[in-house]
Order: sequence, then C-alpha cells, then structure tokens
Amino acid sequence: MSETVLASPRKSDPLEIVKTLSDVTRKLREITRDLTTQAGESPSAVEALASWQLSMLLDLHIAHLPLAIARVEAQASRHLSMLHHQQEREEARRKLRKDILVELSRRGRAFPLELAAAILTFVEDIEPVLRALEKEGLVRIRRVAGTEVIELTPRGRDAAPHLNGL
Amino acid sequence: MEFAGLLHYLPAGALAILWGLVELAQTFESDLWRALRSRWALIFLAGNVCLTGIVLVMLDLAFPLEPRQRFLLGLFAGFGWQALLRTRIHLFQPLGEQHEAVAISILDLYRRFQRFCWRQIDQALIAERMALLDRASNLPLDYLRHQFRLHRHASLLSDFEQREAEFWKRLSQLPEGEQRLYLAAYLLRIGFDFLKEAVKRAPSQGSSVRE
Repeated sequence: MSETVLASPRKSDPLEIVKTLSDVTRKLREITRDLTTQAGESPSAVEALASWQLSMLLDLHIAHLPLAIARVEAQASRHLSMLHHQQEREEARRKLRKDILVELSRRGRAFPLELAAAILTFVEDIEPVLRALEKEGLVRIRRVAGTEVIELTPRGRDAAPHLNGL
Repeated sequence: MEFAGLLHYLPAGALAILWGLVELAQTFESDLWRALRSRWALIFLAGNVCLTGIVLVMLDLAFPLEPRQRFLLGLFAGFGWQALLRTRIHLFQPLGEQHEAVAISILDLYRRFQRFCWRQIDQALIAERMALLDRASNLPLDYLRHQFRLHRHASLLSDFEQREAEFWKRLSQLPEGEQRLYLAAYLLRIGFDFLKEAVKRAPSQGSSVRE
C-alpha cells in the first residue's frame, strides 16, 4: 500500500507548506496508480481506501492552503511596507542633502545647530548627511574657536546652484 | 630722497590694499563687513602694503629709473607683483636661481602671514557669533517663538513648509533651554545684525510676549 503524507509543515514557513502540498499531490498520483493496479483483486476495499485517501488529501489541502496564502500575503505586505519606508527615508535624506547644500550656498558657512535650525530640522538628523557630504568632498567641517563650522568646498559651490535650479 | 621720488609708492600701496580687499571679500563673503572691522583685517591689509613696499624698494635699488618710469614701476609692483604672488611659482623661473629663491621665500612668507590673519579673523567672527547666540538663547522663549513666527509669516520664501509642523512638534518635546537655542540659531541664520537687533529689542526675562 502506498505511504501517506502526514508530515505537518512548520507553521512559520509558507514555503514548507507549499512543498508539503506538492508532496501530497505527488502521493495522490502514486495512490491513483496503485488503486488502478489493485482494482481487479478487491474492488470494494480499493474503493474504501481510495475514498479515505482522497478525503484525507482534500482535508490537508483545505486546511493548509488558506494558511499558506495568508502567510505569503502577510510576508509580501511586510516586505512592501519595509520597502516603502526605506524609499521614504531615502527621499527624506535626499531632500535634506539638497537643503543643506542650498542653505550653505545662500547664506554661507554655519554651525551645525544654525544649519539644522535654518532648514527646520535637528542636529542629529543632519549629522549623518553632513558626514556623507564631507566624504563626497562637497562640504568641509572645520574646528574654529572650539566649535565646528560647516562650509562648502569649491565642488560643493559648483553643485549647489544645480540642485536648486538657480 | 625727496617726497616726489616716493610718489610711485602711492599707487603701489593702493593696489596692494585693493588686492587685499578682494581676497577678504572672497574669503569672508557672508560676513564681509564684520571681517573688515576686525583688527586682523587691518593688519592683513597693512602687511600687504608693507610687502609691496619692500618689493618696490628692492626694484628701486636694482633698477634706478626716471620719475615717469618709476611710476610705472610702482604700478607694476602693486599690480604685477601681487598677481605673480597669487600664481604658480614657476613664473619666477626666468629670473634665475638666486632670484627665484628669494621669490619663493617671500611667497611662502606671504602665504603664512595670510593664513595666520585668516585664522585670527575667522576666530574673531565665530567667537562673536557664539557670544550673540549665547545671549539670544537666554531670551524669553515666547519672545523667540514670536520672532521666529514673525519671520516665517513675513517671508516670501516659505521654505520647508512640510517640515515646519514636525519641527514644532519635536521642538516642544525638548527641554526649554534647547528650544531657545534652536530658535535663536534660526534667527542668527537670518542675519547677525537681525539677531543683534532682536536681542536689543527683547523684553527682559520674566515678561512675556503675546503670540
């Protein structure tokens, strides 16, 4: 007699569920083949066995499919939401970068606090952007009279008007 | 030497001052007037004039010329020498090794002197800004808020409108001292003189400003 597929998939892994369902389908094909070969020996036993196997397989499909679909949907939604947030953060960072360069180009050098206040944000928000701009050679951060002063480099001065369409 | 014999020092000195002013304007573009009022700006301009004078004395000694030619020499020293000073050193090569060595040392001296003056002016300007920010951050919070909003409403350029609501929300969560610092820093960014005026007009601590 053919073996049955009863292994329950791990609940947290939709891929496992799909894999199990695929195994079930494969087994269903094997059972059908076995039943066909055994049909001549005891038709009533074969019929009972087939009925039991089929109902079990249907139960498995019915029990697992909605769960698998729901999990796949939830995961896809989580990924989309993460992607959306990442895009929003990236967009905010790009905007901040542009505002910093334009502000420095308009009104000259500034303290970090001054610069943050001028573009209506906070020092902790502009700090990573400033470090990135410094690495790119668009701004220079100097220590003068015990404080940090941010100013545009010649490259930054060239880039700023294009950012603001000046 | 007669006074007439020294007249060619005048255009040379005037050009040296002009060159110095141009350099100051380029370097301290956003704070030019305050930079010019600094005593280090005056020292820099005086140094520029002295250096040009030294070069002219050397040229006078090396090439005894007629008064008219001396005037041209004065223009050359004031304009040409300053121009050469600001360009690459290989321009001095045709003069020969001995002269080149002198030129390099004068150029080096000038650069060091200029850098020193720039640093001093920079420090004076920054210290002045910090002192004003410190004074302004002690003003009543309501007054600073009022000044901030006044400027935002009066300004034709309403930049960062989308960020403003979020800014106020986050600002209100900060300690009062930090709120005052941010608002004062915003006003300082509008202009040093603007904030200075605002500080002068400010009510004394304790009294409130109607919003």
